[in-house]
Amino acid sequence: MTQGSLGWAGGDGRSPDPAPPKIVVRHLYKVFRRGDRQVTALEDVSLAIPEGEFCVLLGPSGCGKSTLLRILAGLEAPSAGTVEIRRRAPQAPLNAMVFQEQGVLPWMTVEENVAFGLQMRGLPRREIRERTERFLEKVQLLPFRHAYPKELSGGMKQRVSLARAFVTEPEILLMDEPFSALDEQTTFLLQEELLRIWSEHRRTVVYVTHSIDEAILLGDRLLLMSARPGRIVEAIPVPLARPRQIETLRSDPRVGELFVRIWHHLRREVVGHRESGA
Amino acid sequence: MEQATTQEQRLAPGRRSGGGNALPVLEDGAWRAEQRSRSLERLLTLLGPLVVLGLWELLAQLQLIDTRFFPPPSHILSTLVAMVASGDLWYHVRASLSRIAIGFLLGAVPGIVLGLAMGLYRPVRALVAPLIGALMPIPTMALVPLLIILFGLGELSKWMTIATSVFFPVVINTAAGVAGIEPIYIDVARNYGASRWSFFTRIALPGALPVMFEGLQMGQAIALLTIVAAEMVAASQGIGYVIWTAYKTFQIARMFVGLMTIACLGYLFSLALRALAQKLTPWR
Repeated sequence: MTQGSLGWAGGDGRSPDPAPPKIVVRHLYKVFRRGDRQVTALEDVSLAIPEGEFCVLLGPSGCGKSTLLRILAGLEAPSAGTVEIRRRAPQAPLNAMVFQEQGVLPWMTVEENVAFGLQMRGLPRREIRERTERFLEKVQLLPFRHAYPKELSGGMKQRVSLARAFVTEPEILLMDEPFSALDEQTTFLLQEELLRIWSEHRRTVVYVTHSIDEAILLGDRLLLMSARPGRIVEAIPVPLARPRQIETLRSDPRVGELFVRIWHHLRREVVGHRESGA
Repeated sequence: MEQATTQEQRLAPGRRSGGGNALPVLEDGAWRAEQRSRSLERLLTLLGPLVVLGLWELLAQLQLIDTRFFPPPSHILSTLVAMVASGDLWYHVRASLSRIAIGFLLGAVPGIVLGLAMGLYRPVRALVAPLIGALMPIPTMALVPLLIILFGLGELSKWMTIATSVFFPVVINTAAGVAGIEPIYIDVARNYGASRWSFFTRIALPGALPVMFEGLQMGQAIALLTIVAAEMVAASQGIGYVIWTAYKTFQIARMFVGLMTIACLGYLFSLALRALAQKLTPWR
């Protein structure tokens, strides 16, 4: 069912993209061992994500969406199936991940955190400095470049995390509920900031969240996942023009309809999961 | 909302060196009361030792306590002054200090190296942990005879005594420090392509440093305990030697000078280590 909406590349009037997809996942399985029993986290997940798409994985907690993201990041190996990421620039890193709030390294300053990925790739010092500064500017953290994370608010830490991922200019960006620990207003601001930075280059994004509102605001296309074992049960395009703003989205009747449609799906999964006693 | 915190935080980096958080905004009266109670606390901190010393002096002067065993503090002080003036005290302090410094290094460096290896490589941990677990509960002083058999009566056996006692808390805390690094930091390192060496220098070492320093702090305290005891057994100089021979020759004021010197050294060591920790872990 994901195959049907494969070519869909955003609601901004661009024509469907005939190029081969950026990410292709085929028949992916992930089985964990918990003592003497086995837990199937992902079951036969197949999907294709076109270049430049902001793709949101949406599902009840524990549905394996983070596991899928970790497999895409190469942090975990699949039990079966394949993942292909099409390279465009051979020297670019394959992916960069925006972690949850604790992902900022506490013993590095803001600047060192942002430069970390570039340093790991052994780029020349001047280039690291120049790119780091550019992205510190973009996330408005230039005045805090020498501060340590303990001195930052949660929102500022996540801006560090965003800058650290974007500055490496990876083939794909992976985000694992980056704003879930923040308060609502801070989340709004960071979502807008994320969209602003992303819209400059429109790199392919896979974004994991459990928030329907967030998914609609950010995504070109939403992949709904079932409760464990995680499967992709529905792909929903978001036919909203960019740039998007929270204010206009809130008053758009299509958003309400989308919300209800998604909720009907998820509700079945959440309730069904509970009744199955898991 | 975010903007407000941004403004507030903008001041923060500059104030970092001050250490403390900004005072909560209190009303004037409440603020003054707070200040008063703080200066009272400071006064009480000084008062405790002074009262004890004053009482001691008074009881000694009135001959209410046996001054052969508890000479008045004024007498101890004049003994101290005489020992400092003659260079006698420094001669012994220097001997103990160099033993502590060398022994500390001989224990702490292998402790850190082995602790890091244990934290980073599970096979190393599996191999070494039971040995450490079995040897650690033995009090170092019980090992002194064995260490003398192994390393002779000279300086080497004293260094090794201190090294042994420092090694265990350092190795255990270093291993625990590495093992306690949040898995998410390891994910970050892997995701951004850290090499083995980068992982070691940028993640494992700084991540383990705070807990490692607690081990060094413990090791430092134990090193003092050990050196004094070791110098009592077989030595011709050092603070432990001063205390022991002063006791043997019934120069009790001299013995008290030795005790006070150790108290001061311990305090200075922990201050120095704390300053070093603050310098090496500025993010804390």
